[in-house]
Amino acid sequence: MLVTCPKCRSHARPKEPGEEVECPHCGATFVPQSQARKWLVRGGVILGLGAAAAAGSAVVVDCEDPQAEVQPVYGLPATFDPD
Amino acid sequence: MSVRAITPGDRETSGPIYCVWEITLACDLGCRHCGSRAGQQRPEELTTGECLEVVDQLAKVGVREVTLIGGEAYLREDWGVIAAAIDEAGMICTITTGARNLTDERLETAVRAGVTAISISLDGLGGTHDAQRGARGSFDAAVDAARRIGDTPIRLGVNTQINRLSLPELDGLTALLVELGVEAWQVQLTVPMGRAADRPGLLLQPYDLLTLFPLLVWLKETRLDPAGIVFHPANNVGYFGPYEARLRRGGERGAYWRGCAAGKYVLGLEADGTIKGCPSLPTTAYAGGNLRDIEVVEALTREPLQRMQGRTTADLWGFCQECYYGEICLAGCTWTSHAVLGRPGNNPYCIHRALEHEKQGLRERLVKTEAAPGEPFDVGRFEVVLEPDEASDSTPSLVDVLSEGGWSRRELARILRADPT
Repeated sequence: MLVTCPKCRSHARPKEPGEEVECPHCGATFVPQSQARKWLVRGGVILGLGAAAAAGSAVVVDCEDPQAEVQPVYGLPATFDPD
Repeated sequence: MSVRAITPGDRETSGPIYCVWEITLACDLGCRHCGSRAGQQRPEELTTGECLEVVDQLAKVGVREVTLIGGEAYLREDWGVIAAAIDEAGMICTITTGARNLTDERLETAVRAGVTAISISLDGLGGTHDAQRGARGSFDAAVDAARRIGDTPIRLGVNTQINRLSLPELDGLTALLVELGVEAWQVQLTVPMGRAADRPGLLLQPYDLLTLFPLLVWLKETRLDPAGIVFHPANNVGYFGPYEARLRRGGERGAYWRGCAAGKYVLGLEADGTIKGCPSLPTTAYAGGNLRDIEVVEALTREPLQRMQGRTTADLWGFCQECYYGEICLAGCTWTSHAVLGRPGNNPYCIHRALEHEKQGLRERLVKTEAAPGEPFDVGRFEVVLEPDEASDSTPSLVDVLSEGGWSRRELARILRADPT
C-alpha cells in the first residue's frame, strides 16, 4: 500500500502501517494515517502541519482508497458509470 | 460504481472484466501511427455466428464491458448484430472510432443495439489530425460525428494520441472538447508499433515527459475540471512521482497505478479470433490461441495469459528492477515497454524515472536500431541512451515544438514553474 506525501503528493511506501516514511521524491518524512482517521483528525492535522513544517518534517496524512479501475486501453472510451 | 472498478472479488479470481475486440481490420483511415496497420480486413475474420459464440463466452467468464474497435468496427456489416448481442448478454457495449464515416444510419444502429458510449479519436485540430489520420477531411467528419452523437442517448468520449505533432494543439483541443460536451478525455503516448514504428520522429523522448506532465496537470486543472470533463491518462501515461495523485482518475482519493492489467482483468481479441491479454500487444509474442480452436475460459488457463496474471518483480530488468515502485508498478504498460525494448519489464516512458535521472543531471533518449517488419502489431527495436541532460541532438526541444505550435514561451515558463517538483 502506498501513501501520499503531504508536501509534494508523490507516493511513498511505508514498511509498516503507521510507521514514519520518507518521501522518495522530496525527502519529507511523515506518518501516514488511515483514511477514516484522517477525517477525524483533520483539524488537528492541519495544526500539526504548521508545526511539522517548522520542524522540517511533516506529521500527515492520506492513505489509499482501495478503489481501482481497469483503465481503458488503446484509446478507448472513458469509463462511464452505468445508469 | 464503474463497471471497470476492480472489486475484491475480481482480485480473488483475476478474471477478465473488460474486453477490447477488433471485429475487423478493415479501415477507412490510414493512420500514420496505427499499431495494427489497419486498412484491409484480415483474411480469416470470424463469421457472424462465431462472433456471437464469442459474445456468450465473454459473458460466461465475467466480462462486464466490451469495446468494439477495428480497423473501423462499423465497416463490418454485422457490427450492429454483434453490439446488440453484447448488450443482450448483459455486458456494456462501447465503441472506439475514427468516425470518418459514422453516418446517421450507423448511429441509429448503435442506438438500437444498446451501445452506451462512443469514443472518437482526435489527434489535434484540422490539418494536424488529418495528417496523422491519413485522410483529408477526417477531422471535420469526426467533429461532425461528435456533434451528432450529442443528439443521441450515447455518451461521448474523445481519445488523443500524444506525440510531437498533436502536443502543441492539446490546449485548443481541450477547448473543442468543452464545446462538444465531451464527458471524458483519454490521452495516450504514441508508441512505436506498426506504422508508428516507421516514424520515430513522431514520438516523444522519455525526457520530454518532464515537460509533458506539468502541461497535462495544467490542462486537467484549468480546462477539464472546471468543465466537468473526466481526464483519463491511459495505461502508458505514468507512473508515480508528484503527478500520479493529480492525474490518475481517483488520485485525489488515493487511487494509483497498480500495474498492467493485461491478461488479468483485460482481454484483447483480433478479428480472426486470436486472443491476447490486451489488444495492443504484439501478436507474435502474446497470442494465447485462437477462439476457433479453444474457448476463452481455456485460453485464460494457458500461456501466455496465465503467466501475465501472475507477474512479479522477477520479470523486471534495467532501471525498473531497482525502482522504488517496482513491486507495485511492474514496469507500467507491457505494450509500451515491449514495443520499445523488445520485452516487458523495463519501461523508459516513466515520469518517476525521468525525474530520478534529472536529479543526477541525466536523461534517457531512444535511438531506433531495428525497423519493424511491416505486419500488424509489429515492433522494431530501440536502444536507450543515458546521457547528460544538456546533451545536444537533432531533436528540437519540446518547448520549441510547443512554441512553434502557438504556445507563448512566457505561458509555458509559468506552467512549468508551477510544477510541484
